Amino acid sequence: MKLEALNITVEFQNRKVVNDLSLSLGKGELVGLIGPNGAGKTTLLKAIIGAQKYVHGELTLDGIPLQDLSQVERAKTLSYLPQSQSIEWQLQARDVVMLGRFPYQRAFSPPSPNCEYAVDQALATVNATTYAFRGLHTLSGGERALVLLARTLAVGAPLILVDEPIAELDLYHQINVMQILKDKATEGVGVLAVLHDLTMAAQFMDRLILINDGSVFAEGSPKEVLTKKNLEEVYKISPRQKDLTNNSIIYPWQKANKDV
Amino acid sequence: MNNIKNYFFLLSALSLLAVLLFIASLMIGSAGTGFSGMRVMFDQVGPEIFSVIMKEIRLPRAILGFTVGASLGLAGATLQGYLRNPLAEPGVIGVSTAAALGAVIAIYTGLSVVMPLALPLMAIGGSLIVIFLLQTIAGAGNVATLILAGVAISSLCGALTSLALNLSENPFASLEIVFWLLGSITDRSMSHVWLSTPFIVIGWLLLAASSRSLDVLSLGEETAVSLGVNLSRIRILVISGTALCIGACTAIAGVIGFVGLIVPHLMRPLVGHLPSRLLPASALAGGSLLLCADIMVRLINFGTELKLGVVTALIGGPFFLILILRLRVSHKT
Repeated sequence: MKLEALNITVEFQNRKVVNDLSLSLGKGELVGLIGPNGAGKTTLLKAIIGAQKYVHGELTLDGIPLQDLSQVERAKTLSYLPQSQSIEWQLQARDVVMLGRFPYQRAFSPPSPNCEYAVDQALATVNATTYAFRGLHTLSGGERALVLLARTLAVGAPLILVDEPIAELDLYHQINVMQILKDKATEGVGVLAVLHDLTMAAQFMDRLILINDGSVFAEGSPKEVLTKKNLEEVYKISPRQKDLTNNSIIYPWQKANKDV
Repeated sequence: MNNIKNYFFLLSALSLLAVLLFIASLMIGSAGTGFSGMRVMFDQVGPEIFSVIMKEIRLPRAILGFTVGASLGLAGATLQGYLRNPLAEPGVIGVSTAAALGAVIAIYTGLSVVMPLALPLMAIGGSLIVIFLLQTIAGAGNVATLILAGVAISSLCGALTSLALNLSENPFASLEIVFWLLGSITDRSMSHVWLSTPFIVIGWLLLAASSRSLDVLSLGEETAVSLGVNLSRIRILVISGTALCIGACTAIAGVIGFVGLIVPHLMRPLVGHLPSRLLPASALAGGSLLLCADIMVRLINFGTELKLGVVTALIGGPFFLILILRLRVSHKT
């Protein structure tokens, strides 16, 4: 399964938020989407899942235009985790994860054994089985994030789009979530993750796409993309960087000089 | 698993409660109350009149008590789920006020005197116009647009109702309008039941069809779309379903507030907070609550019979205040 976005353009009041942007996500790939606030990362994900209209461009799955697929087919193929979701009502964790099986469920019938199994598997993957029957509102931020990730995994989609999955998590949970995504990619799932932590991105991602002003600024391995020059130009910061064998530790040290 | 068992137990208990209240409602009335009262009535009036009293006076009242209450509960639960707002109720999209306006026009023009069924028919017409208006104004917009459009329609219809009262030269018509607006299911006939039932049942079916999408909507609109929910289809289901059943109920019973607000809140913790499970429970509980209130109206005697809408508002008002206090507390912590 391969997702391709070709020359996608999204406009908000005549401003091009995503401008002629192309990317692809294949089987087993772990791709990081990075860039400053307002670069168009979230808007791009929303366009891919069909929650945002785009004025120009084409989205295809294995060469088939996405709009030729039914909403249910699309839902089974692309799973989406938005950034810092607020969940209405005091739902139980397991019920929330079960919502991920919505594309597979028929109206007015209880969940099939397949769905129950997928939900249990998803809960086990994120190690959330112990609090599966607690209300989501009683969980800590980290536990809550894991349940929502399990909801995304329960879809069983071959491609997963996650928007800032580690933004509000402590250090342990950050690594935990990144490791779960990496394991999923090893199993053959294509993962596209919006990230702000560049060291995490460098450590876990196979490929990085750096976006600036709605267009791809640089793309390639973490080493190729996370250069001092790119960071200064796109993020307007001068980092302290320590290069390791395959990746690098990046610490945002100070604002970049204006003349850069 | 245990969850689902508890849920079916709850639904069975609520169904049983509704059946018992329905029977109780049949056994209460001015002609004779309770087993002994009905026995006396049977002996006094003979089998033919007894059967007329039961079939033409008490049966429609009991049926409408349940269907109106169930519609209010169901529509309230659906709208709270759809708008993701615990303070939503059927009136919020302006259907009840529009239906009331239709009825008021029928009374004001004297049409209801010439043809009694003109009143419910015009009320249903009012609610159908609301579906059209909401789809045109808020069809492509978001939830906030829908609420705002509902408030606008509500205030406009309220103003036109006041205008009718203001201009009415006939004090009897004014009194009739005011009394009708208070809400009641006294002295309704089987023709009211036949007229309202098709609209109510279609409304119920439309609302029920939206139920599982409401669960997914609690994750937010974008996640719902990513899971295959068609937002415009859900909007049409919710608006049309509410307008049809609430319009028909208002047409028959006048404006009955607070049932649609309270019932979902009472049921929500019992069904594990899932909107789809809340719908059947709220329908059954709403029916039971209104049957119960209608029984109270007949048992409590202040000389004049209390209006059903007055009783529900008297129960609902304080409940609403407690609800706001509790919301305030939970926001603080």
